[in-house]
Amino acid sequence: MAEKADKTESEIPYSMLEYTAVFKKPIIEAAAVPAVLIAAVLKALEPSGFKLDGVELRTQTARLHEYEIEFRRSTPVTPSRSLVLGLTKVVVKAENLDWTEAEQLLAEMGAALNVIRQTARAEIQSQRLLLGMHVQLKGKPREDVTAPLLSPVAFKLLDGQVRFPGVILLGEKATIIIDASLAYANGLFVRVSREHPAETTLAELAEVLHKDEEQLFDVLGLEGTL
Amino acid sequence: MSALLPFTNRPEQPRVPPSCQPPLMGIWLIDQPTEQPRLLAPASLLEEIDWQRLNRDGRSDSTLKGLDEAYVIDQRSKVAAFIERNRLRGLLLLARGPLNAAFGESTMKLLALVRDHEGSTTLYCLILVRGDMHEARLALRSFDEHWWLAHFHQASGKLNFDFELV
Repeated sequence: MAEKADKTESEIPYSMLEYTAVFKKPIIEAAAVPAVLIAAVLKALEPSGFKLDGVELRTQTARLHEYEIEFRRSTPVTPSRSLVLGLTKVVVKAENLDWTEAEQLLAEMGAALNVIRQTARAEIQSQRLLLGMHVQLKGKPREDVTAPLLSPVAFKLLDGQVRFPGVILLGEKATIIIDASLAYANGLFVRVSREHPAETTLAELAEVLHKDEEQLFDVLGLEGTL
Repeated sequence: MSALLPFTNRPEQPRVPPSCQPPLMGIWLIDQPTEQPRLLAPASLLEEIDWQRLNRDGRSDSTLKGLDEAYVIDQRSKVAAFIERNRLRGLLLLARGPLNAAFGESTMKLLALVRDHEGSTTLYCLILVRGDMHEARLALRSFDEHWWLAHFHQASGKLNFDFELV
C-alpha cells in the first residue's frame, strides 16, 4: 500500500503509434497496376471504417521512392488511423490508441499486411514499432519524477538550476527518450522505439511495447491508464 | 508555451539536406558525424523530424487549446465541457500571466472540478506551491489584488483560484 501511495497520478492526453515494415525488395511490379492493390487492401480495411474517400494515391512524383498509396480511416475520422504503402515499406499510424483497442487494431492491420504480402508479393525485411506520447503528471512536478534517474554528477554539467533533466537511452535495437512536453503543462514527452526481425508477429510486437510502457510507468513511479 | 528548451527540439541547429546527411542513429545525433554502419534512407530523417514535431504539437480540442500548455487538467473531458458551458476559456487564458507573475512559471496549476455540499460545481485552479503557508498566502493575495478582483465577476461564481502546499 505504501508503494501505491507513492505513485504519481498521470494521464496520456495524446499518443501516436507508428509501425513500419521495410520490404526486402521494392514492390515495383505491384505498383504498376495500383488498382488491384488498392482494391485488395481496402477490402481488408473496410470493416474497420476505411472507405474509398479516404484513399489517396500519390504518383505525381519524379522520385520513385516517394510513390505512395495512403489509406486513411473515414469512420470515425478521429482518432486517426492510416496505412501508407510505398514501394519500399508500409507504415501504419494510430492516434490515441489504448490497450483495450489493441486486439482490434492488430486484427485489422494484420489482415491488411497479409493482403500486401500476397498481392504485392512483398517480403518483410525488418519491422519497427515506435510510440510517442505525452504523459501529463498531476500530483508532482515533472522534474521531480525524472531527476532521480540522473546521477548527481550529471547535474554538474550545467551551472545554475536545471529546469528539467531528461533521459536518452540507446539500446542495440531500442531507444527511449524522456523529454519535457512542449504541448502539455507538467507533461513528459516519451518516445519508445524498437526494431524487430521480420519473423516477429504483430502480437509479439505489441506485447513487447506493452511491457516497455509498464516498465516506464514503474520506473518513473507513475500510475494511470496505458 | 514553456520557455524550457527540450533537447529534442533544437531549432538553432543547422539542418543538412537529407541527401548529404550522415548516418542517423537517434534524433539527438542529427548533426553528429558518426560511424554507425546502418544507413537509413533520406526519408527516415524526415520521419525523425516529424517525431520531434509531435512533442511540440500534441492535440488539444478547441476548448482546451492554449490551456493545455499552462494548466494540468484533471478529468479532461468533464473540465473541457464545463469550461465551454460557462465560457471560462478566455478568462483562464488571461489568468496565465498574472498566475505566473505571482507564483512563478514553473509552479503547477491544476484545473479540477469541485462539487460543494449543496451540489454546486466550481472549476478550481489549484496552484501547487512548494514552500511555506505564509509565502503561498502572500502570492495568492498578490494575484487577487493585481488581477482576480478585477475579473472575478466575469466568472459568475464558476471559477476560483486557491493554492495547495505540496
